[in-house]
Amino acid sequence: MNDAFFSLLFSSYSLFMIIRVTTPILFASMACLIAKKAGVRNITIEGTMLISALIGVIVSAKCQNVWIGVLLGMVSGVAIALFLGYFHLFLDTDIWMSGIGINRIAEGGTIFLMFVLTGDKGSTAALASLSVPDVDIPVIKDIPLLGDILSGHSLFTYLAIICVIAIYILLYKTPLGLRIRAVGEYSMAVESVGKKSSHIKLVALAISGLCSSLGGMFMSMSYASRFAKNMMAGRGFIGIAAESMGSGTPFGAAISAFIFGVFDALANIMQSFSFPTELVLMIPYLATLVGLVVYSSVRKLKEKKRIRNANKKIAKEAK
Amino acid sequence: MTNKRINQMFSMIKTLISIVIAMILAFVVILLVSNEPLNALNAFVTGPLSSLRRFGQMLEYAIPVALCALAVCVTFSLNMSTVIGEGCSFFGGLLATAFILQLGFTGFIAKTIAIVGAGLICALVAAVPMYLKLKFDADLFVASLMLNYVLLYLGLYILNYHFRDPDYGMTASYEMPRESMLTNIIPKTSVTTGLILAIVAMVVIYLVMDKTSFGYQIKLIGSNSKFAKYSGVSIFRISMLASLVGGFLSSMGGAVECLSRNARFQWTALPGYGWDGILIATIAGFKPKNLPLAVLFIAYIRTGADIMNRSSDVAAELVTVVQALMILLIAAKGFLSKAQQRLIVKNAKKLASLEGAK
Repeated sequence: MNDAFFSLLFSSYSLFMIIRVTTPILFASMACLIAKKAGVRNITIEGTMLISALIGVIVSAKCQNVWIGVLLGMVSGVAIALFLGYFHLFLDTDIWMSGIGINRIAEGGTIFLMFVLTGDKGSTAALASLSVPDVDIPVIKDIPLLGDILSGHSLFTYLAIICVIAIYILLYKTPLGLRIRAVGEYSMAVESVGKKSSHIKLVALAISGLCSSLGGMFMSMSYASRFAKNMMAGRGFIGIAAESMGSGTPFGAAISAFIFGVFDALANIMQSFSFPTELVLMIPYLATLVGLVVYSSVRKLKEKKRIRNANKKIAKEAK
Repeated sequence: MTNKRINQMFSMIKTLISIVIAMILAFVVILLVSNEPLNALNAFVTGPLSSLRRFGQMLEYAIPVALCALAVCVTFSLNMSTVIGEGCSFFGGLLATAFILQLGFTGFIAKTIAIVGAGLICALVAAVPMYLKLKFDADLFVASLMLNYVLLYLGLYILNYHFRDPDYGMTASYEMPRESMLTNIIPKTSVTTGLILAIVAMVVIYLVMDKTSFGYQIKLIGSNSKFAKYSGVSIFRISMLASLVGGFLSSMGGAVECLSRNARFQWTALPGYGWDGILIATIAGFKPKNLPLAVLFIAYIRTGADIMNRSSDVAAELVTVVQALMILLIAAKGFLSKAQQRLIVKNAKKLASLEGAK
């Protein structure tokens, strides 16, 4: 069993799988990151993914055009983010409460809507929905091993990678990114130069909703070809965890999203080798807990060191 | 009128208005999607009272969520968002079943060991994210959420590899002996002595939160943790104790549920009681004394929705959306705040003019 297991684990198939299962987590972690940079803890990613996944499927089935489905799925993601923003920023609702509320709305609402449209509470198998195409990359696909791993993924997978780079550029190379980061650090400073912090937060939330919606639609229009009840299974939350382990940068978040992807794929592979699946599925969550502790204590140590250095400096200057 | 009275009155009015808005929305949606809207509405509104069995069904749902909501009343009073209740209610139910199946004897002592033992283990588990928060400054929400999934998969592992009955059609544990389950108190329903346990727990937590220094310290940390710290309250000790209590209560909710309804443990996903608990505690304003009313209300509409689901063409999930909308509106501090402000100002002016007249 061992030989078969390891040869499968290190095959191009499993590396392909890892990239595939990382996609939604990557989108979710970017969604979390951009909102967090603006000082809003968006925990509605899971719910937003669910709603967009369903909307994309329904619209693509009704219009028989996958792109209109994707577009409206994206619109729905932004709409939910703005709904959250309205409650949090304008009605002064606690961010955790509004997040929990919206996630519950998504959980119940998607099942309700699915039942109204298809008469089935489990999945949208009755709808003839369309999928987003897979893409072969021209040159890379002909390279022997690399082609099998990197080429032939869903369009959304490549979008996810572009998304990481785009978020990085947006945050660190554009005026809007500077404003977003400034609002997250100290919103008064932004207000003092005449910019409304709530507007900037809304923009960040809208981008966050957009990323979540893409992650959701990957699940229902590429990973699977239909929407199923609770199909995110916590991927939105894992994205949040990946972000908090990623030391607050897009690439850090992407790397930890990838690590989660590895465990997720590992669980998939180990399933076929009669290893207790439950324990494998537990690993990513346990890893997050450990990661959180490590990350937080490193941050705390750094903080202490900084304060000590500052104190030393002050003492020196006093002399 | 004092400002405190005005604020109290407003929070009550706001809760009521939120509930009314959400319910109106539910009725509108039913009218829109149903082919037999009157039938559906009738089932939804009067269903839970139409027979003793259905009334019992409402209480069956109310018992575990009341305990989970009680846990939230304690932990959320710290003003720290831990969502471990969800995992604890699942794991508590599983552990209680496991205890009963493992113990060589049945009866009252077995039940007590099962509920208390599961409760103590879950109390320790629930304290983990709080410990990580207090010692390492880890994100409490994310930590508790991740631990929920750890508990789910650990629980499923324990179920599948140690207690699963292979001869049963679905994933389920072996059958528990009847004598080890809670005693039925309303015939033809599954309402058991769990109801009494829940009521006792509510009274105890009400007393603890409102009449002891421990409860006061929890609320003090929640309203102003710096003030609490400088008044000599040990934030670490009180927060840890509060999360232990919260974990115990949530676990009791799950355990009572599992020892009441089915002789087999059948959960293969998180049961949702933790989230419902947060919702109900929000409606009750995190005050144990308001909890019975909030629990009964939510249990009523939940049961009504289930009955509607069975007797008409409207899905019960509608009520999940309605409940969540209620939380959003009730938790929205800005909702109706202008009217509240106006009333306070008007009242102050009136008081000032009265003072002037003197």
